[in-house]
Amino acid sequence: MASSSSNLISLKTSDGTVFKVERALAKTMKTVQAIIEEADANIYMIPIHNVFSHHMDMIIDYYKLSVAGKSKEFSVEKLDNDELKDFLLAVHYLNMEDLFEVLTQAVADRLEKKSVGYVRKYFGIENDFTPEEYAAIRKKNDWAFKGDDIEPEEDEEKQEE
Amino acid sequence: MVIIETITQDLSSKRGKLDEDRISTLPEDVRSKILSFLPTKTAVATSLLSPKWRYFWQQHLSVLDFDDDSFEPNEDRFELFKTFAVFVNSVFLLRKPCHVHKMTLSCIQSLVDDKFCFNSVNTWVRSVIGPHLNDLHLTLYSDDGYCFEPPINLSSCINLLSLSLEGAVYFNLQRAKGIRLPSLKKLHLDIGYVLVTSVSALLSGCPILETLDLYFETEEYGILCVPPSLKKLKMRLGNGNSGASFEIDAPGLKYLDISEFTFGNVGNLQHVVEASLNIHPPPGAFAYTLVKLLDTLSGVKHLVLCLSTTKWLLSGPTDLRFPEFQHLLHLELILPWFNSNCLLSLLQTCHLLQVLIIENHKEQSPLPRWAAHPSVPSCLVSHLTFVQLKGYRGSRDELLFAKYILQKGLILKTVIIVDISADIRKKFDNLKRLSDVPRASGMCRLTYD
Repeated sequence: MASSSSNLISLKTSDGTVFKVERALAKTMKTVQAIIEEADANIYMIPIHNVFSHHMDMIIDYYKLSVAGKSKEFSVEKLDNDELKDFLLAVHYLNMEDLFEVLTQAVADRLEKKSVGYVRKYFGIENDFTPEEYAAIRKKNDWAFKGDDIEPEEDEEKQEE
Repeated sequence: MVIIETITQDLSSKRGKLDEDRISTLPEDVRSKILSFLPTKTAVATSLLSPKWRYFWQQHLSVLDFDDDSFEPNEDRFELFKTFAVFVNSVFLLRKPCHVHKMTLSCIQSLVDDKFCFNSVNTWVRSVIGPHLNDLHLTLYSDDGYCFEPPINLSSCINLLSLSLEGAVYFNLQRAKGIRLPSLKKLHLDIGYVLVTSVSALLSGCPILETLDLYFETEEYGILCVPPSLKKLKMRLGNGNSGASFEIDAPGLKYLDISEFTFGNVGNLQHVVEASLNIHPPPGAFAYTLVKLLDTLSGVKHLVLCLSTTKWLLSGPTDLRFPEFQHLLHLELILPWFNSNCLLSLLQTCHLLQVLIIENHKEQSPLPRWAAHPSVPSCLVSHLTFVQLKGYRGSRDELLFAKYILQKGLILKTVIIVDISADIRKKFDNLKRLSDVPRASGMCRLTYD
């Protein structure tokens, strides 16, 4: 394994920035941990695809807060929906359990009580139902939609954040 | 500490290319995880997103969250329950039979005293009970006589970590004795009438419990015994002083909040950092007993003493030795009446105190009389920066105390007086008297309300 004198692991993000992070932080990234364990010799630099430097900044913020017992203060409110999705995917790739839970909860919070059209747009889902199919499902499963006002034809341009 | 050295080598951004691949669809396990955070009604609605999503929710529902409040309100509560029940039953039938590890069931609008309600709720709970259940939260309100009794086979939830029962829930002693929850770490009970001994019996079946939040009503003189594993304890009786007492021997306890119980027995509470006490004295007990309790809280940093406790304290005897609060930084006192001598004697032992908040209720006249202490409390000279007096009326004793604080508080920064006098002129008089007092601290700001 890496020499004991080195407590830092070098991670290179997709945009070419190198971060030297504490071993303890690298351990929370199961993907990185697996790479370290598989390598026989000392590993100098671990590339992390799909992760950009702004993601690493936030990951380090979260780590600092959770070490101080203040993980509840971590907030992703300032991120727009696309940025949040990006970040979620980066953390998913790195396989970081706690932070992943925090981010999926944040995404779920933003989706709750939103219309079907909004959710489609958010996930980038193509609506390949025909209007007849759509109406048929709504009718067949109307037990599920009591109290909702989901209209079959929605103007997705009208959806607001 | 985390050290970051950013050595930027290649600044060319490859972001544009990755955009398409990532935003179009999220991986299945991520979508499934997101679904698990949504109320089940929303998760089911994802069937409308696209053909690919049509049956997705059915395959991936291991977290259930049902809420009767998310249905169209109906004046006929039973009708609402039936609509709700159709939804819940359909979800149970259509989902792939994978293990449920978390269920939240909230019925606050629709429960009535009908067999259908009883059978439905019991069946739903029974169908998730088992070794895979980690979290169970039931909120069941009814002003109609409906009542939920936790089933004895709750004991098969050997991996249950968190249990919350709120509302119309009842269990008798027999039932409580039969329930064992060996993995339970967190318990929240917010219920109506139940015997103290039944609650103790239930708690004895939770040997590794760490967080307990208890609210119930009782008329019994029983003793509530809590598990020794507790780290955080909040317990309140809903119907005032019933005579029920407690036995707490939890060496790892850090947070304590007790209200409306009569003092019973405690072990060592030296690790408690934050405590709030609204405790009744046992019949005939002098304040010596209270001091014994406060002595065990030797490590407390944040302390709130409410009406019942302070009444007990102020009733004397007046030669009381106050406990040494070596670590106390924040003290809040809700007083039945004002007694500056007693307060100043108490402050003698709070050497590191930074924040002092007093709320005066003035329920009765100030008896007995406490002797004045000759020396200035050390905290006034070296640590006290914030003082707030609520319920101020400008009485002679209150004025004495306020003046003393202002004159001796060497490093005071903020003094807030909340005056509740009805007469504006009296208020103005009171304010004038205090603002004229020479202050020991140059940076002391007096805020008057």
